[in-house]
Amino acid sequence: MNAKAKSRVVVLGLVTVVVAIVSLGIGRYYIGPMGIVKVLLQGISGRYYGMDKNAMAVVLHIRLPRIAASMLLGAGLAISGQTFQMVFRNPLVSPDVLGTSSAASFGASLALLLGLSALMVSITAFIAGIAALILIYTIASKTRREQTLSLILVGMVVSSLFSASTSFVKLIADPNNVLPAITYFLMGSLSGVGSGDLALVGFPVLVSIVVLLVLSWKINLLSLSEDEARSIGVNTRLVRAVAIVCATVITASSVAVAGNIGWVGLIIPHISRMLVSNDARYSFPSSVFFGASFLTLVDCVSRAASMVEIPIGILTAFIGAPFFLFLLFREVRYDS
Amino acid sequence: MILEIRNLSFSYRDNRVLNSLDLSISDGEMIALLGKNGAGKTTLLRLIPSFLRCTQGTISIDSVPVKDMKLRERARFMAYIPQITRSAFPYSVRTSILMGASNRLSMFQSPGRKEEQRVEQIIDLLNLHQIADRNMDTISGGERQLVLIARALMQNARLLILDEPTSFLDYSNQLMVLERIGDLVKKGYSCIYSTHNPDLALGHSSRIVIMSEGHISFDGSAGELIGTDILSKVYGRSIEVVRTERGGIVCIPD
Repeated sequence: MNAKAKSRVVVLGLVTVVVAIVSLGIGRYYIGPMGIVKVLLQGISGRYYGMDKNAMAVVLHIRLPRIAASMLLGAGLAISGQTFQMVFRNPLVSPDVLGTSSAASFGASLALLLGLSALMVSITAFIAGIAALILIYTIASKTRREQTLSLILVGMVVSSLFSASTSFVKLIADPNNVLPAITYFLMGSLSGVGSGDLALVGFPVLVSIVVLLVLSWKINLLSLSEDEARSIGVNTRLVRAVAIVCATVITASSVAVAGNIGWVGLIIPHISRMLVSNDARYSFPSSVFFGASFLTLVDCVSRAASMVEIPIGILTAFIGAPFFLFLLFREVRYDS
Repeated sequence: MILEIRNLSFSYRDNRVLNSLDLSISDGEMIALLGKNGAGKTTLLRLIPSFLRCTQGTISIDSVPVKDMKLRERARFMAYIPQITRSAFPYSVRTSILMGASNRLSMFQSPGRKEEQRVEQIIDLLNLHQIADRNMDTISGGERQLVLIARALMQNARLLILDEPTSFLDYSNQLMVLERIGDLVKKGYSCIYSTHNPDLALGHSSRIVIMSEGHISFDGSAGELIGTDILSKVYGRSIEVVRTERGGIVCIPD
């Protein structure tokens, strides 16, 4: 069982590398996979492998940051969604369950309304997301209910408050230029992600992913009942807090640089559990690889399918929603 | 190892559930806890591992108060197995047993080969080979209880606390689970379990503890119940406890 799960994770890792190389070549200026390998070798070693300046510029300066972003955010959203699903013992939960996405969206909208720079939009969104988490934790800790339940309930309230605030910002925004900017940003797109954004969120997202991967065994135990986990001797509050903070940092970072990219955090964990294992020691790395590959491929479609770039948030929903229905029907059949 | 409960009281807000209760459990004892709904059985079982804070009294293991122990330390002495367990993400039987090793791992540590070998030993001990490769949602309720007991052994827990381990099980599974626990008790483990079935308690225990209205109304062997009206008083109807020709003890409602 474990050996099978392990080998599947390795295969998914290799698939991810292939996806990265292929998608670096896709676009108006097509370069084959071998060409990409040569570009990368030439870029890293400085030796000449026969690739011209144009190819180098397109791959290394235009496509590489974007694909790095899609890989990072895809991996991050998938593992963040999976973490939330396990923490809240509910496979239908997605990374926006605690309202951090709504808060980050509000932060971004407000920054756009105030005419701040792109970098400041990202920073404001990120801060708003984290602030929402602190707010939720503070309020939830004051209730007398079980912690996971009160977090969900308070999260719902905070989420709807921030959604309303975003609507209010849209209402008062200039309908000629600011409102479209807000709307377009919130649709979710990787087109605006540059090296600056990567520098901003790359480190926190990467660290959060690594922490979650290392913590995966203990996160398994969170999906048991509270009594069972405590009986086994696990400090659930501590593990849960670290897991939620990491998952939230990823979610807020994602919204901060790319707007709302839905569905990845919901369906990828499902697929990786179906194909690999329920055990987070294996399903976490497989979600990371799967999420990275999925978002990168969808982003390829988003930038190459038509003359006008389609926001990736729309595409993930087009793919994710029917797939989710499929899962739902599959589960119904399974139960009966 | 001796678990001592002294003068234990507990209230949910103004509602007093347990009232100055004393009880001790030693190695090799299998205690069946009987009592009507609301008698305080589950409350008592959840107080032992400090899942609930008692309002008064002490619970100690070899004179060390349980509430002063760290979670990890406590897990090495006792394991609580709740009534219904259904994970949203059912794990394999091996992984479920392996989880019992978590109290010996640091925050960021995963179990390694040593822990996996111990899982195999426990699978041998409880004879779980047939289900070892299956998922928790594809095995029977009785088997699931056995896996949770295996997980408790993985913790190295000596005292097993089981809240109605036989509810939701068919009759043969009820007997099977209690017989396996009985085997462990013979090896020196101790166990306290609650049940709504007095017959099971009479047949599978070294001691029977009966609770009513928050205190212990009987604490003794099954044999001491023969010919008494104690069960009748607890359940509010006439119940006779008799010894069968083969030497077993059963109860017969009139």
